[in-house]
Amino acid sequence: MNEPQPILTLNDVSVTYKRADRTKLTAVVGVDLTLNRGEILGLVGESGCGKSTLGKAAVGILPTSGGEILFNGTPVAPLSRSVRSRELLKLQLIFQDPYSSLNPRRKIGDQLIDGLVNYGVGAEEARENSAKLLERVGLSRSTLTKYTHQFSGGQRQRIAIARALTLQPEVIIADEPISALDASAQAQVANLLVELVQELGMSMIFISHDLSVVRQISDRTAVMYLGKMVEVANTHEIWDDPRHPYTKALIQAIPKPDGKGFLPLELPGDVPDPRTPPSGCRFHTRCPIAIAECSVLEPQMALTNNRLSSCLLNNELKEKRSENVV
Amino acid sequence: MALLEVNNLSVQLQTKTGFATAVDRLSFTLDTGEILGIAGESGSGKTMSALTLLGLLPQHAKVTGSAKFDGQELVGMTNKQWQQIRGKNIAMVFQDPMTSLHPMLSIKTQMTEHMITHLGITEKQALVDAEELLIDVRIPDPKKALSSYASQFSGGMRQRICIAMALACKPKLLLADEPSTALDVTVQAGILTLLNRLREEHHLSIIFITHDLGVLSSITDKLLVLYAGREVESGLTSTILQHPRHPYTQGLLDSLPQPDSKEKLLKSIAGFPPELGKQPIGCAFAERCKFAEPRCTGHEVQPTFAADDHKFYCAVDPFAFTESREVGA
Repeated sequence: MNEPQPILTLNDVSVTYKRADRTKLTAVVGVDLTLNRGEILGLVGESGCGKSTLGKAAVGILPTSGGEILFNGTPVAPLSRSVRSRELLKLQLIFQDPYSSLNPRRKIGDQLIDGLVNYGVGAEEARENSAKLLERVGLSRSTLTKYTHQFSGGQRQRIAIARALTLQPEVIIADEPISALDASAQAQVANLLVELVQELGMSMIFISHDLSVVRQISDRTAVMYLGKMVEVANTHEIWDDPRHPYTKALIQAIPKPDGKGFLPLELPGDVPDPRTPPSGCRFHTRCPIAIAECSVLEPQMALTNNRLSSCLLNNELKEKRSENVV
Repeated sequence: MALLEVNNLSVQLQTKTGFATAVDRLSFTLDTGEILGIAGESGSGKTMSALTLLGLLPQHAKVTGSAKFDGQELVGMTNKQWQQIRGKNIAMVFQDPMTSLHPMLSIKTQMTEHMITHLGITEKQALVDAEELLIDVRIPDPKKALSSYASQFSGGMRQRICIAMALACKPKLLLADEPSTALDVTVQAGILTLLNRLREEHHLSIIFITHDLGVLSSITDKLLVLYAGREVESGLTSTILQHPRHPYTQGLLDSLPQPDSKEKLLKSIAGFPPELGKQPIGCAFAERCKFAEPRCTGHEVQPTFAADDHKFYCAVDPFAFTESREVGA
């Protein structure tokens, strides 16, 4: 097998929001993550875990408060509202809600050619390129002269995808691209993204709270809880043998359509307030197997038996115990 | 006698071009303490059927057929009569707890208003009852919750409050329209557990509407699969999910992510459902169905009955021998 080549690297990335009442909220805390060339990486977690914030920081539309993000070796950081460095054009974001990410008052063609024209492509050529892209995502050329209200949710998301593709990106970060869509449109749009990634040789971070879709389409899966990464592994490994108790809880909470009538397992409690995260392991307040040390010691992402997770019971304590035994 | 008996219920909505059929001759029954799931894509008429049972249809909607609740005919009731039933004997929980609670009114005000109206109790008594209801749906610190506002709760907690509110007048029937779709899976599991407990403890009957077959599998006793406003298949949940007989039901199951598949693409049913008011005569799914034959369209499809009240509307019946084949193998 080929050695994976990193294309987007996040080193110890933190993102802090300053709130109106001057309190600070650190939504992403010291995250390390690598996206390899040609890979689809699923990023999952409950709402409020910081997955969207991480996605926005990774494309450089949110400033980080610590750590570094490298795209093909170029540091990723916001420049200003209107300028984006040329190197970063190959890094694009698709938003969750195509009802709000497209402008209702401009023709679709005008919205699509913006990016191209801004970066020096002639209007005619830009228009032709956009028409081709629209056809590739399953819409007709005449879409160019229409407005967004003339399209359904699934069609709008196709338009948004075409727009993200105009500058021929190498990496796409898709932030919940299917969760605002109808059930039947979800599968079609997810499939379109997978096909495009394979066909155009792109890489993608697919952010979603729908674990079963992530399971089907992603090569690797990263799980976040309350701003921190808790487990990263090949998707089939995560599902066959989750190492972090939070990953286990997420998987067990998915109801199975087998007609056997078993209720999914409940994870008690809510995600704690990220302004005042629990001490030690952030998951210990809801963890079914937490021990006293978990509320004191802060676990780090570490490799145990070739698997990366941040659970004291997997990593630090196990090592200590085995040292004692030796 | 069943708590709810629906017979040939049809709903027609007024559109620019005349009346369009949103619900087409639906029939089902629901017993006390039973959970019925209604499955289907958006536009299949599942929400419209629920709104009919609450008298909340848009103006000028035409309703025909019969829906008997506890012996009382719901079709043709006046607004005044509806007010006696709606929120009291039949209550509803909506999809989005972010928008179904009023942002500017305290939980206390929203919870007690209909209790005072429907039950004729004092405000003081209503507050005591409201606190108990919040304990029942597992809201921590119910006293504080009562004087809080919707924005102070997470999505899951808001949905629990909505459920408590729906239960306030001790309804016999709860209509739950996609109550867990907007929530995280972990939170959804909690809501499903709660609804199942309420059914057991209070003998509540529930109509659970969602497109999520996993959710329906975990909580419902029987299923009704709708397509373009019509029933395509109904029966016990276990039967339908394990041995579906209608190609549409099979298509819905196939389009779920397949855990063991090495294939990265999700399967989906090609094409789109017919537009409102443009359902063909005969099988509405025929256009998208890979088993379709000429005899599927042009005249009404007759239902086929199988064991355990299993009923489906497919003239071809391509999965007829699934069961015996499995037994033989």
